[in-house]
Amino acid sequence: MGPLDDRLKELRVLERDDDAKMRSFHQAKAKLYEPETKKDTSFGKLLGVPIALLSAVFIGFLLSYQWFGDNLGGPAIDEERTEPFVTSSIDHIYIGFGDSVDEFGLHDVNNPELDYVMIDDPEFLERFENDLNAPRTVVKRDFIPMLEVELVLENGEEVPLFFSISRESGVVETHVYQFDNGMMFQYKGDMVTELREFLMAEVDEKEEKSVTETIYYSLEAALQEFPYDIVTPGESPLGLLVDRVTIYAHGKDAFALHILYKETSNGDDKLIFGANISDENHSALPYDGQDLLDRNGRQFSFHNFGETADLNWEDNNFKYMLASVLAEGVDVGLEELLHLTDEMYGISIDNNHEEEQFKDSPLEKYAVFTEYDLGSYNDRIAEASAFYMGDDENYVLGFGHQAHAVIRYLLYEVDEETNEVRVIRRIVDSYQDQTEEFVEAEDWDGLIDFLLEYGQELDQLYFKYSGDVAEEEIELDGTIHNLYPVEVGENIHYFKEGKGLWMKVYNDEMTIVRDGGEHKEAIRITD
Amino acid sequence: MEDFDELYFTYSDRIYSYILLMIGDREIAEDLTQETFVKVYRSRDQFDGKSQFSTWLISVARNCTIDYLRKQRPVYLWPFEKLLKVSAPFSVETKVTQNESVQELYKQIGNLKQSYKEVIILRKIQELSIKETSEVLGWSEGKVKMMTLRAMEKLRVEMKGEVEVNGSIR
Repeated sequence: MGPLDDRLKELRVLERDDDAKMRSFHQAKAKLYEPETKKDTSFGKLLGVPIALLSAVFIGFLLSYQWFGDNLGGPAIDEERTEPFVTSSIDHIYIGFGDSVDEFGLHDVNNPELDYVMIDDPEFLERFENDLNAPRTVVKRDFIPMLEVELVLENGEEVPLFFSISRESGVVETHVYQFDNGMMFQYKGDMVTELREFLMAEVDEKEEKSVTETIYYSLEAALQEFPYDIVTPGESPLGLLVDRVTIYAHGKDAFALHILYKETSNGDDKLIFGANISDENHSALPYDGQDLLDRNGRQFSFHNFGETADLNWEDNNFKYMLASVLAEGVDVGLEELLHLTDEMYGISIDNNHEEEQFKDSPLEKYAVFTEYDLGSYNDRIAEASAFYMGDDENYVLGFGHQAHAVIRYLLYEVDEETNEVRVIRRIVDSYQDQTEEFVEAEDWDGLIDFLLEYGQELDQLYFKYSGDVAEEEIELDGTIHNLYPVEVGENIHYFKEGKGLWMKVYNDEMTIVRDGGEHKEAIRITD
Repeated sequence: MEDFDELYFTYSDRIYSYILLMIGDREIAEDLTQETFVKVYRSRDQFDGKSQFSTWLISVARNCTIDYLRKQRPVYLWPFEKLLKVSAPFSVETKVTQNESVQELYKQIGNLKQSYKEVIILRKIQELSIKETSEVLGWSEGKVKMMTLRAMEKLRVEMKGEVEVNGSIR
């Protein structure tokens, strides 16, 4: 990987204005409270041009109206409402919004229902009802969301609302947004703070707000509670260490074990796994998007949501979940999770399952047409190639670079009778427009034909198999590799079973003279 | 609605950066980021879990960006494929980083043709895999590989030209 690649990565997350980011967040959230408009996809197309013209006129009208309106005193006000907003008495109120609930210590990640706090104090409700039924103005403007409020009326009606406050020129106003109908009311005064203050008082009075009791155990004690040896620190297939074990007790008979793992490879304090055991249903409920699979006689369901993935299963009336919970930059997928469960059940992981699968031809055994990348960025003998099979099985197209400097197309001819592959055509850094047309059209057969017609002719061995030649044990970076050598003139191509071209050793005079030294090696840089 | 907050604060910087690289205008990038997250949240049930969630997010962001570009074009009847060959109205004056050499890289990416720009952003900047990039762009994996190599070659040539003009190695 070259320095250009490294610099490109620096563009992954660009500088961003925090205010703009938050404004974007609030506006996006406000949009979610607006009714979704359905697009007409058929008739509308026919009317596209006239509607566009009418829209342009209408937008022009709106802009003019807003311009003069703004200069004549604030945003456009539709009307003032005096009829009761709440036509039935309020029975109770639910208030919920992650951040604001957190402020009062009521947020409980293990029990989402606690995200909503109920207010049923009659005195407060009456005053609140009066506030809501006070004169109000219908307005349209940006606002900052602060609190979700759901009114439950005595007539059974549920009214979800969204409250925010604004302070402009010393005047505090509450904006109430109604879910579904997209209408926002504006009240004088600050209802949000009033609701919060009421909540604070409630929290002080009700110490027993949470139903979940958290008990911290030592690692040994926690693992004794667990029916299986989940992991021995340092021996996990992912090289993970148990960092902390927490047991959440849910009543008398239910508990959840939460094990936090640290990734050991980079020393970060990154939590990447949580494992829960509970006899409650919530941790193992199947939901949309899950794949079901059998492994070692157990049925697992797997769900992948973005950077997280979880595996659920049931055993002996317990429901288990193993999840990657913080996997940014860490690709923890199904196989890794399954490996962990194997280890939990004491099943040795079969690393040899790939053996015996290359029983056919040597070309398949040595995966001759596997994409490769040899040599480091500054290496003049570095090269890379990807392969494309055409309809004609005799030819394979190779596409890659040489020394990261020129683009190279090679055409390989395959002789399965003699187990031999030869390079017969080459185009290096020429015919760029023509070759790109084939690439754009993804016409690999066309590109093969083009190479046959216009490519530089050559006849160079790439791979040849003989039963008389044995694999060699070669140490590279402290690891022993069994590699199959193919002599190509003075040079040697080494192939690895199932992996393809692994190393090229250059003994030819031209390379030695050019680069100095006895011989040069270009070694595979990616597996 | 809490999951929306988490979604936004986890991914929005990355999506914003992706769109800014495509468009080159901060304000529009914010608007399109906002639109992307509204669309994603409203259609979150459609995510089938077959691809990485972040890949799906980028696909939605790309669609929003393409829609925006389409609306900027006076010719409404252009086919979608043709639109993709047209570069966005990239503002190279937009400063995206304090690092001058990276800023220069940003400018040069803005000068590339759209298909090169897209494949570099996805493969080299967003570090999507070949398969993920092929899903987002609707190309074959082979085309992604080849276009990446070509785009990088073109970018290197442009950067080299810049070095020669300025007489210093960046």
